[in-house]
Amino acid sequence: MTADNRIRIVTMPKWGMTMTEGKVSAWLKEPGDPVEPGEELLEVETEKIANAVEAQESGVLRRILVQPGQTAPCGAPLALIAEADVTEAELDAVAEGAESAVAEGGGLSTARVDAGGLSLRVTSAGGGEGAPLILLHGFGSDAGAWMFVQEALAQGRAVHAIDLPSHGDSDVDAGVATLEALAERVGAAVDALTDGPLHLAGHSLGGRIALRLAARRGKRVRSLTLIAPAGMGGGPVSRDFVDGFLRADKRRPMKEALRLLVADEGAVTSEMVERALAAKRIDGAQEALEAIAAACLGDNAPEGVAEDRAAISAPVLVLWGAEDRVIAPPAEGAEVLEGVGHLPQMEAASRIAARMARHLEGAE
Amino acid sequence: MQLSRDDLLAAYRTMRTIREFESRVHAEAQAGRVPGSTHLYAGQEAVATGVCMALREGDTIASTHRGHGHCIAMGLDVGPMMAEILGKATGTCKGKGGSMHIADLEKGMLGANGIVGGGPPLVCGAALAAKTLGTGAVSVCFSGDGAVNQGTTAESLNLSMVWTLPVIFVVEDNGWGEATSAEFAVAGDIVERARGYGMPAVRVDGLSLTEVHEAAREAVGRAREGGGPSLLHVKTERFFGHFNGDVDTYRSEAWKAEQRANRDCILRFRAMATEAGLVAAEDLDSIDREVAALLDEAVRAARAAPEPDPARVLTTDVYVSYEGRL
Amino acid sequence: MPQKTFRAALNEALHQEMAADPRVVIFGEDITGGVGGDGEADAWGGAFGVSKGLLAKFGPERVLDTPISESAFVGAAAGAALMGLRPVVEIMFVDFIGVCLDQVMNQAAKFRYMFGGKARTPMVLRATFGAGARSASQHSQALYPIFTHIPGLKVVVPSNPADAKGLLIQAIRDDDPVIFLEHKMLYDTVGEVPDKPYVTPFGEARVVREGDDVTIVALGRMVGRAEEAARTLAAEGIQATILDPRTTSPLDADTILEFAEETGRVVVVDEANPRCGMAADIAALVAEEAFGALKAPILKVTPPHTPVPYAPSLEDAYLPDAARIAEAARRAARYQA
Repeated sequence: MTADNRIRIVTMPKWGMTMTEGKVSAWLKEPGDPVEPGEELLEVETEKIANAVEAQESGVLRRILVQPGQTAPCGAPLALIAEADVTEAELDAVAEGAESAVAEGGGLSTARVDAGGLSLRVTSAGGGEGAPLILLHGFGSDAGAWMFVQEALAQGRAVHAIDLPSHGDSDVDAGVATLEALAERVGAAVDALTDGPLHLAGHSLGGRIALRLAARRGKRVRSLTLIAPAGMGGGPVSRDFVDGFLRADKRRPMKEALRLLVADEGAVTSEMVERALAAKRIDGAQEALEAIAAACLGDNAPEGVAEDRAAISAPVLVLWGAEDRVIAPPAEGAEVLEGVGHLPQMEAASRIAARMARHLEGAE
Repeated sequence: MQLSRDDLLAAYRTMRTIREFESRVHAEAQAGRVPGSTHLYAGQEAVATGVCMALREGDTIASTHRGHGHCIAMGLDVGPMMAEILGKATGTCKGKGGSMHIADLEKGMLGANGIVGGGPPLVCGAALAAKTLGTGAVSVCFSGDGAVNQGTTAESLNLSMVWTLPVIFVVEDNGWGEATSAEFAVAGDIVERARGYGMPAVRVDGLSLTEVHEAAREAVGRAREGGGPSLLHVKTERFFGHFNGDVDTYRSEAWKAEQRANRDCILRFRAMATEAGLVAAEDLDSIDREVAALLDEAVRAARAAPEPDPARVLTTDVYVSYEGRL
Repeated sequence: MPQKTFRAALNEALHQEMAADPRVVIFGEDITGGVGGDGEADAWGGAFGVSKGLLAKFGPERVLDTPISESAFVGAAAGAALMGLRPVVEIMFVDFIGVCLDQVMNQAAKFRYMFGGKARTPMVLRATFGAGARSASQHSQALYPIFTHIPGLKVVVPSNPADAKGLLIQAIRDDDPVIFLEHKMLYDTVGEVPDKPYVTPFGEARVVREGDDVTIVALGRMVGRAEEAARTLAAEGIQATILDPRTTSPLDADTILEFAEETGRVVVVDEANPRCGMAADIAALVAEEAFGALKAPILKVTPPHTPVPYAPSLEDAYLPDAARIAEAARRAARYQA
């Protein structure tokens, strides 16, 4: 981010395609406070979202550049983190340089790829020499599930978040509902995006699909990150969540269902509820989601997991929220994050991004 | 085209049924058993009968506040109709519509209508549906001499021409719009008005079932073949006042006696059919008896029927579905 | 997600529903525009361009221009709906309802009830409404209270492109007569709109934003102004909830009451005239059913009880703006009994 590696710039995040700016609603640390990775630095809000921005590095919060109540474009510098021995003059120089280097527009773009007759939407960030990272979201969600981490992961590589069949802006087809069918279509989309090595990451249902896909794509897969993957938990996928989500046709029942996803129930915004309902109201989506739930999220979810794992030689990172009420963490084999529910990549975005970045680097 | 004996007997049965129905409604109203207003069709039977005989299944009609005759001519059952007029749960419309809103869409009867001039736009739509869906159906608008002065009639004459719709406008001119004579209220000539839109239009003797039928048959045939709308200006007679509470003082007793004696379409039909040897008087008499029995039963059942239960049906049938409070 | 204008969202809804269902037909004045001329066909595509392109795709049998004759063609929509079509008719300005209200109020709205439940009248009457275009008293009114008052009608007042599409698709698929009112100043507004067909159900308010201090209920174009006001208020430390009922009939009373009870302070913003309008209706609902939770009087922000004026200075003063909404919300939020 800066020529001087001793000074880290905290920038205004870009959470999704439409976010162009954000408002600093509060600083949770004061200048002079030491910070550690994962610690919440500040709160940012937009018309649609409010979330905390976590520190990615350790150091001291040396300077706040944007005050509470002020708005800044995505990518704009918000604060500087450095060790205590960095001088004020050095900070001044970096701050001035950073101001002029504010990213223009967003780093996200979308495209459609053909996946065996189904058109799937792909949201992409970054680029470069590194093997691309493919992100697969969970049941009933869309690529927006990665909005808090996607750009952070796009350092030196492209990061493609795919809307699963019958999800987000992808085509709806209730006939593509089994794990094998989903993995086949997603695989076709992945092949359309890259024919070389790649990293795969998936959350929940997307984690299970990523595991199957990794088993099918063999050596091309450099690493696999599974966040609360279906079929690998300490228990079954919560019927309360799946059935509640499927049944919810109004705001309140949907809110109840979505609350199960997160440790802090206050994090479920009306925007999230609206989006979830809107997704189900796409023609055919409800039927398709019911078919997917029946095929992939029932008692049969663990089927084939052991075989798929056995077929994978790439390093596998499994991350889980300790307070996951949708799929309980397994007794072993997962790195468990305290105070986090079923959406670690949103609830603990910076920690997840940092952990995944290390995993990817280690696998290159 | 000559009507067959069976056609004539069927036409007579329809006319007799209408006349008998209206005399029973009149009696029920006089006895205080009709909760609201009714407008009796007696005197005009040949019009509804002659026109509807020219229709086939799938065709539709729009009617007026004076709609009982049109309902019967379209095959609605007199039992539920009588119950509807008495405000009973067994009525055609569950007692929710009353005399002015009797409808049966399955029989092509798009409803009596409480609004003078309500029907013309509706038949344009029904005809558009027939045209768009390719059903070959036609739609007939019955309206009175009062409705010809409503803007909806003028607009619908024009629209039906512009869209070349299979519509037949039947103007039943009974000489009275409520208590105001057509002679006072209608400027110019109704047939000429239609011709002003380029629409085929004829004047028809509404006391002659065969003339009405012949004119309707021609207009229906033209509409069905894609020839567009027509208008029939049918001169007819209204035997009762405008509604059941109208003592009809604006027409003298002598005038009314003369009307009933000399300008009754049913008497004319009887004379025409029997004198020409087409049907025997006894056949008609026997129809009279059957119809009287039918109406005896309709009135008996309607009187005996329960009133609609507010707790159950007051707020039903407003919407097909409604996610909110009524 | 793709960004589209309010106009394009409506156009897409019409395209998708006409493609999906051959019973859907549209008609209205200048719905294509230019018929009979020797120049461009579909020259207007509706007075506001909402139906542009439908003629080329679906042909003159399903996209019909009409004479300037609202009674005839609105009544025809009712008749056609009774007989199996799903007509979508446009009256250019809702103010013109004056010449054809009978077709809506006494015919379409009442068939089902009058006929004892035997009729379905699946028609949509689209019309523009609202002030702001310097169109004066006969082309600017917000008449949704008139329709809301009539049982048998459903009344839709979308505030943004995504809702406009989903609500119009719902309206076309709905088996009851629907009055669909499009604020003419919203046609060029832009928002995320999914490409695929989807429905936004009736009777479900959108929670535009959530705040603990005051609940603002707003409709149509007033939603955006309420959002503007909420930003101002937030800077002052007043957090507002904004509810957009989206449909005035059915009305999502449950959500309004839920937030009225949570905040105890309610402001209703209505572009319609104040007497017997939605503001009065919603205020009465809250007063009657959430009285115990109220911490302040329910405040209405509406135009005055005057026709819509022409001169920009007058029309701007007539319409509720963000400043007036914010001021009412401040009064409600700071009110001490």
